[in-house]
Amino acid sequence: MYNNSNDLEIFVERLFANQRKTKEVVELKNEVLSNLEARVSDYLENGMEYQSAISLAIHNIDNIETLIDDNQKVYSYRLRYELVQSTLIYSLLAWICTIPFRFVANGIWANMLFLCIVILSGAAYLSMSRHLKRYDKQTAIINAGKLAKWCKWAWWLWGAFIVVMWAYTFIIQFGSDVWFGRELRIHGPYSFYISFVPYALPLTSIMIPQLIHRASKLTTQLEVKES
Amino acid sequence: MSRKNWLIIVLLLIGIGSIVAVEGFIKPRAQEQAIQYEAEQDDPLTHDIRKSLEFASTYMGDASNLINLNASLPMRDIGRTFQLYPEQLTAELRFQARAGDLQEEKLKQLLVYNSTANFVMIDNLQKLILTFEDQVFTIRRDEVESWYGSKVSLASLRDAATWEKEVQSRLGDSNYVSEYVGNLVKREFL
Repeated sequence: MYNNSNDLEIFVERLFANQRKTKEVVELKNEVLSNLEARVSDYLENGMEYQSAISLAIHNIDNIETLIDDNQKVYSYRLRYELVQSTLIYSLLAWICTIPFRFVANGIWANMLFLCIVILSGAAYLSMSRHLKRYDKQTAIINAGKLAKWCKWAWWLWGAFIVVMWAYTFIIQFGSDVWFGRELRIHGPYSFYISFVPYALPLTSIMIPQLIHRASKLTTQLEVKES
Repeated sequence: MSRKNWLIIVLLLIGIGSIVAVEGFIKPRAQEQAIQYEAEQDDPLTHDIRKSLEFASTYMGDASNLINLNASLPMRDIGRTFQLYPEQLTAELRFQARAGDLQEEKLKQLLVYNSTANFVMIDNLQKLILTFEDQVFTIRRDEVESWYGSKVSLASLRDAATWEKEVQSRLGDSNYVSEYVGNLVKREFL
């Protein structure tokens, strides 16, 4: 019996591996598992061999996407509040990280941009904090499945953006070597810094996919669990 | 107060502290150093040849390279135009200033330093003419090669350490500089 349960648990875990851990999904997972266990027990009592019983039980289950509803009820004000808080923390980190780049024009612009985001998100965060108790239980329906898809797309797009930016910078820096035979010379720390900044600056845009990822995670954490 | 709010306050303090450090101390100091460095680049005794090494080229016909090379050497703050004579492998730099207005000792150092740099960086440059409003100085490659002798080829001076040892460090010796100018530089008054 232990083997039976263990094999089915592994199968079900794999089946739900890419699903969000919402209350609804966990319940569905348990239901699928107990259903499979009951079927296997039935087959075994009827004299079927263990492997055949397992194979037959899981035969028709290959996709559970259609059983899961993407719409999810969440504490909407709390979700917005936490997102603004994350925006403030990420923009503070980006602001601090870009302070050493203030020796070049692009670095100053990037640093000022993050400072503006810090000020705006800080003001929004303080304002929302004052009303948190009042609207804490406010709920809304969110399409969590769509958000999870956006999250994946955001990471892919960000990855492509970084590759393009790095390739562009690389071509600009080393193009003169290729076309005119004039090699790039790095004389010292400052020269290295000037060459390094164009590669490092685009990385600060990681806060965009990170925020979408955070929003996706928050929909699970802030799900309304009605008893 | 929640842990995240503490984190926000700590990050804010780190950010403000870093901005004060960068804008209040590090940047002004770096700016002072940059001004000092720029001033040093006008003096042959303190010039940093490493920047000029970028303009090493095989052909004197590459006008932009020659312009950039001389813009990286001392006397770069004096307005000038260029005239190239590719058939004679000769370059002429026409300075918009009077050589007589420059201190004689400094002028000699500049002639040694800049002429050597031009012949070291441009492989096929045979003759260099430095024309001022009142004087013309002509220097020939073969004579400069003979000056440095067989032990120090002009190509070997493209190494910054060798350059400093064989060219720059000797500029402090006024006899050496006078001898170079006396023997290698043809001087004409206009």
